[in-house]
Amino acid sequence: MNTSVRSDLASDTGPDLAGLMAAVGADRDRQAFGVLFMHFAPRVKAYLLRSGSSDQLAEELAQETLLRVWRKAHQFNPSIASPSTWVFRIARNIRIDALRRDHRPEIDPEDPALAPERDASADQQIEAAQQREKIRAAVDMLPPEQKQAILMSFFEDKPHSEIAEQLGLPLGTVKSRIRLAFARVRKTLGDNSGEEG
Amino acid sequence: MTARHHPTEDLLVAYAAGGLDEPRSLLVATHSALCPRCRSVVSKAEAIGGALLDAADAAPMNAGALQSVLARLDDDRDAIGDRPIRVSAESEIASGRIPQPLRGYLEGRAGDSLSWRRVAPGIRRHDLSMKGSARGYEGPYLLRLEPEAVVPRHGHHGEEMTLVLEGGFTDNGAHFKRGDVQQADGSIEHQPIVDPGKPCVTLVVTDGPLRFTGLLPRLFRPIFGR
Repeated sequence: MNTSVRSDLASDTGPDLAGLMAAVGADRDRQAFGVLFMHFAPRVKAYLLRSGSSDQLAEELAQETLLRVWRKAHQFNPSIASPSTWVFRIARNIRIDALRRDHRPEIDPEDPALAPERDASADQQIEAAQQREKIRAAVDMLPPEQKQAILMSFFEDKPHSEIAEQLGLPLGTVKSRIRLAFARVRKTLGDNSGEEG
Repeated sequence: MTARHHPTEDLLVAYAAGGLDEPRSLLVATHSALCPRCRSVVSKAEAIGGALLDAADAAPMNAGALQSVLARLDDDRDAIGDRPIRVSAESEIASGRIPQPLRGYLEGRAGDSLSWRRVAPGIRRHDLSMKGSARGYEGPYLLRLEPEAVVPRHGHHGEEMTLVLEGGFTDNGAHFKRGDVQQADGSIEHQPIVDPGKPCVTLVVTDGPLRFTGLLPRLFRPIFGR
C-alpha cells in the first residue's frame, strides 16, 4: 500500500482485509496478521498522531492496537462492521484510555440486556457490506469544509467548541457542518433519519 | 417496547467519534444498548471513522515494530486497559436487565450493596465513581424513586440527561420508560412524577447544579446540588 493515495478506496485494490481477519480469528494465522499489521498500524499511528500524541506514544499505542486486534480477532463479525471500522473502534478506545485516562463505556453486542434488532436478516447482512462501500464513497465526496469538520471531530479528539475556536467559526456552524456531513452519508444509504428528536 | 425518546444525533455522532466525556459516553452507550435505532446510528457514524482510517496518510512505523508485536502475540499478561467486566449489583434492577456499559460501573457490589443514600422523601441516590476525568461534572449517579414520587420542580444551570433503567415517569406531558432519554437544558423547568406501582431507577448525568424554583424545594438544594 502506498502512502500517497488519500482517496484511494483501499478495499477495492488492497488486501482482502475481512478474509485476513477471519484467518487470524479462526486459525491464529501469523502471516495474515503480518499483512493486517502492515496495512493498519501506520494508519492507526497517523490517527493517534493527529489526536495529539507524541511520535513515541503513537508508535506504542499503534502496536497496542494491533496486539488487541490479534487477541480479539475471533470477535470480529463482518456483518456488523468492516475491518477498518472495527480497528477504528479499538484504536479510538485505546486512545481514550491512554490519552485521556478515561474509561470508554462500550456497547457490547453480546450483552444479554441488549434490546434486539427487530429485523436482522441474512439479506441485511449482505446489504451491510454494500453499505460500507457507500459510506466510504460518501465520505470521500464530502464538501471540503464538511470533511474538515468531520475529520477534526473524529481524528483530533476535539469537542465541537474547540473545533469552532480553532477554525474561527461559530459553534453552530461547526455543529451544522458535522450534521450535514452525517446526513449526507445517511442519505446515500437511503436512510431517512429519525422522525423525532 | 423500544425507546421513544432518544439522545440528539449530535451526541450519538460525538460518541462514535470518541469526543464525549466519560459520563455522557456512559449514558449514550447504555441507552444504545436498549435502543436498536440509536445503535444503528452509532454504527453508521463509526463507519465514517473506518472510512477516514482507510483514507489516512500512513505514518511509518519504527523498524522492527512488527517483529516486536509478533514476539508478544502469545503473551497474555500485558493486556493493558482491557479491564474485565463482571456481573454485579442487581439490587434495584432485575437480573440481566442492567446493560453492559453500566454494569462495569457497578462491579464488585454484589446483591443490594449499592450504597443508596436518602436525599428526599421517596428518593434515593447512588453515586457512580469514575476513574477518569469527570471534569465539571457532578455525578453521574443513579436515582431510585418510589412509585408516585414527585421530584421537586427545578431548572438547571447546565444540561441534565436522564436515562430510565426501570419503571417510568411523566414530565411536562411526556412519558418516559425504560430506555428513554430526557435532555433538559437551562431553559427547562420540570417536575417529574413517577408512575404508580413500581419504583423508577434512572441514570443521571449533569454538568451543572440544579436550580430549584419553589420556596419549599429550596430545602432540597443542599441535597441535590453541590
